[in-house]
Amino acid sequence: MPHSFSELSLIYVSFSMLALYAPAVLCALGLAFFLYRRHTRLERRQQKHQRIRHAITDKGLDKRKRMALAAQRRNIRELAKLVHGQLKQHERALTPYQNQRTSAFVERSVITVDFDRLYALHSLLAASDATQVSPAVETFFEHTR
Amino acid sequence: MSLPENIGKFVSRLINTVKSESADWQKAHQPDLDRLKEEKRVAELELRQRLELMEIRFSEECKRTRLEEERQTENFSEFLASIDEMKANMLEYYGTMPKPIALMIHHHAAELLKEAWHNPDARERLQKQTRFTSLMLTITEDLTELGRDGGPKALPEKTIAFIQNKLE
Repeated sequence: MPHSFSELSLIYVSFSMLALYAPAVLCALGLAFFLYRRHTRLERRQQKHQRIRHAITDKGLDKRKRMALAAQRRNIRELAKLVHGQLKQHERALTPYQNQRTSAFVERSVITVDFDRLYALHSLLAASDATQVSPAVETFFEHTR
Repeated sequence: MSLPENIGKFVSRLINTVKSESADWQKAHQPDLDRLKEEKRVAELELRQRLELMEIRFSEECKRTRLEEERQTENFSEFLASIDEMKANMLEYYGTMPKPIALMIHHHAAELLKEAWHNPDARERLQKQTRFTSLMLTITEDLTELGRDGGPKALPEKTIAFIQNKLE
């Protein structure tokens, strides 16, 4: 009995799909198995142990860094307080924009622990009188931009 | 006979052939297979033993690492506390010293301490450790001189010179 076209095509298409995709799937599985078995069980355990040890040391290092940062922030906050006092003193000599900009700069310095520039600003404000302070602050921001 | 029946027969014949071939091969190589099985069992036992020993060693190492990290963190926190204390002492003993100078010395010491502990380069780390120790010694020297000479000094001159020398 002759087979219909639809019957034959169903068989041939299924087989051709299998012939095309099966090797690809097998290759992928083989590669995954090879990569997994490339290292022995002992090596894999050793690697896991190294990862755990690194995680412990990283955690310790992170903790120490955070402690140092907290100590530095406490210190720079004291300087920021002094600068805020100076700003209050010179409030009338500075424009509102300069006041706002300087306050923002102080806050940013505390966050980024930029001690040197905050110290420079403090020295500048300490050395300037009411007439000099506005151009001095302007020059300071021009240089630190 | 239809095409699917042909394919079915071919597949069943193929399976039967493979099965009988495999049975023959197993029969012929039975002693070798038994020996291999035994070797595998012994190897598995050995592996399990080695893994158990490894586990014990690793857990000991992890415990040691954890303790070492705790010790380092404790030391680091002591150093940080000593820097804070140094700042307080300076402000107390140098009554006329401007506070920003004490803050600057504190900042410098903290930066050095960070470098001395966290620099990835071992040589740099050693250099910074030496420098940090020298800075702390200079500060102590300044404070000791203050107590010994009795004469009031406005600033910790040696410490400032030490820091400026670095900055230049």
